[in-house]
Amino acid sequence: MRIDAHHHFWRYNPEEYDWIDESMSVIRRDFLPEHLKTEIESAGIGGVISVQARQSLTETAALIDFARQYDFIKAAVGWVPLTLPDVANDLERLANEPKLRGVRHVLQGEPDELYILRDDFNAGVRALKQFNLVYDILIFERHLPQTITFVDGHPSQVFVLDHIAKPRIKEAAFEPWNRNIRELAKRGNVFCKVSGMVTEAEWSNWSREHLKRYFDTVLEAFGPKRLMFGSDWPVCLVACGYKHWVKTVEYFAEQLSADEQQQLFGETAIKAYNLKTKSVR
Amino acid sequence: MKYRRLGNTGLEVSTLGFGGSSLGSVFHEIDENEGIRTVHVAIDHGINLIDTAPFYGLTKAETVLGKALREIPREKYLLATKVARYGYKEKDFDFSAERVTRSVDESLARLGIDYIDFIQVHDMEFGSIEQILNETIPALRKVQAQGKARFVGITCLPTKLYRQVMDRIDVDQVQSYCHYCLNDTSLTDLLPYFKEKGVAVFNSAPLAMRLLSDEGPPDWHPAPAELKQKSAEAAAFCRERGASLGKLALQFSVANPDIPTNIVGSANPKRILQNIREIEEPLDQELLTSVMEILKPVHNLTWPSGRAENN
Repeated sequence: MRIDAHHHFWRYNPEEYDWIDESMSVIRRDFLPEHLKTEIESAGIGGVISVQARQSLTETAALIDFARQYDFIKAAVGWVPLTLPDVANDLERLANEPKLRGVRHVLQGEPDELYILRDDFNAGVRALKQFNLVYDILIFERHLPQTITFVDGHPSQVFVLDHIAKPRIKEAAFEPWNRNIRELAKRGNVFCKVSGMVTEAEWSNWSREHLKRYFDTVLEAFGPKRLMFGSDWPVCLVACGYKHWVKTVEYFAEQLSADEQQQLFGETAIKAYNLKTKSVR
Repeated sequence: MKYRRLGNTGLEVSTLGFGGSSLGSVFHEIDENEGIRTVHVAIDHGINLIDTAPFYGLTKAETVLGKALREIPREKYLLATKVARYGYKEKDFDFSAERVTRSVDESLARLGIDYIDFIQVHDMEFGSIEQILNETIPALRKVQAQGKARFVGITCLPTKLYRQVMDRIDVDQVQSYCHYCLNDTSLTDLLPYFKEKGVAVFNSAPLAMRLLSDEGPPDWHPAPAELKQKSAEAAAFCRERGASLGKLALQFSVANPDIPTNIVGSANPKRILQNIREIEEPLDQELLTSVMEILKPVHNLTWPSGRAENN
């Protein structure tokens, strides 16, 4: 089964989704499982991993609810208050939710550029191990150096880097992203999602060629065994349709063997998030 | 978020508490959802004390709060509410044993919970201290014995009443407002007494009910003109330096380790998040000194509240 390892759901309202500005008006509406189902079916994707967009336990509960109702949702990456001393109690309450496979904090939105190195945040991340939860790292490329330090502090925690750490594709900037992400990729406990790339490019005027060297870099750095496809739907819609993005990654993956393509489009996600889904060969 | 010991209760409380009075002014469904989200944001980000009262929004605040708490595990928060005040006029107070006992049951029903952590006599200065000593507090002790409340507390504006009551009867908790903030630190004189008694201290309104906010106080604010004038000067001083008086006020109150918790109200999730962020930032000592200097002529200036004999 092919897996989309990264997407979001929401019931749109301008208060909670204030980051969706005028320029993103196309995603100022509800995006719910029935909408996504149509998209994945047309693109030959069988399962998805839903990722938090709001920073609340309500969001985590909502994602778990969707995952219970829809078989095609294979896992959820929720939010828990990692910086709080009693986060373990929240994790304990969620421990019997089989589809909660990871958590994420919107680090890229924190005014403190070194938030990822905060003691309280790191204490929270240390609590994830006993619950077998993955931590999804959402950062901009400028946060890569501190992220490397952070990851080194948690050698047995599984991490998934979202959106290839958001390089500045629009400006065609390559360094220091290239150097830093290769350094991060040396840590074997870090996986990487091929997603969110079009959103970092010029929305109305991007091409495969703009993105290819970024893809080739993470492919080389992480290898297909630690690389997974993600759509970042519905955010991707500001620049690219769902199927169009799948086709784009398929094009990038033409250089790979059939087995490696299977890894990129599912097996890596199944392994990283320990999904109960079997890959179909 | 940081936590501090709460008197002799054995509890730990977040240095920032959530004041539910703003939830009483929500009248539309959209506002209500926003209010509910504010409560969730507060709890999700480490606030573990919620203070409300049947008076706020004339029961609306408790009702909205009840909806917000429906999905929250009970052990995640301490709930404080009040009895005896039910409106704006003197006739709207009822300190009788019968009324306050019934009031607790009404609050439990509106809040949808089995027990209240702190049940407080609301605005004692509007009642007879004799009645509060002989009737109200004993009635609340019975409520406590029934398991409907864990601790019994008192609230008022005039600081002199705390000793008047606590010299004669035991209480577990006090809630003072507008007496530990940039312009008024009169609560400090009482802190050793409270410590000796082992009571839990809630400091409410660190922004003195928006007197110390960047936008300035609402029209109904009871502060004397002189105090409003100096506060406005302090706000302008901060603004000119690209700083925020509200932020400074919050940081100032939270910085005192002898005050376990500081209650701020809002029905806006972003505002609560902002407050939580602000208390994690370092306090600007230089700005604090300048602002205290501006407010010096009106330091500890307060206003009357309730019965003449209680002021």
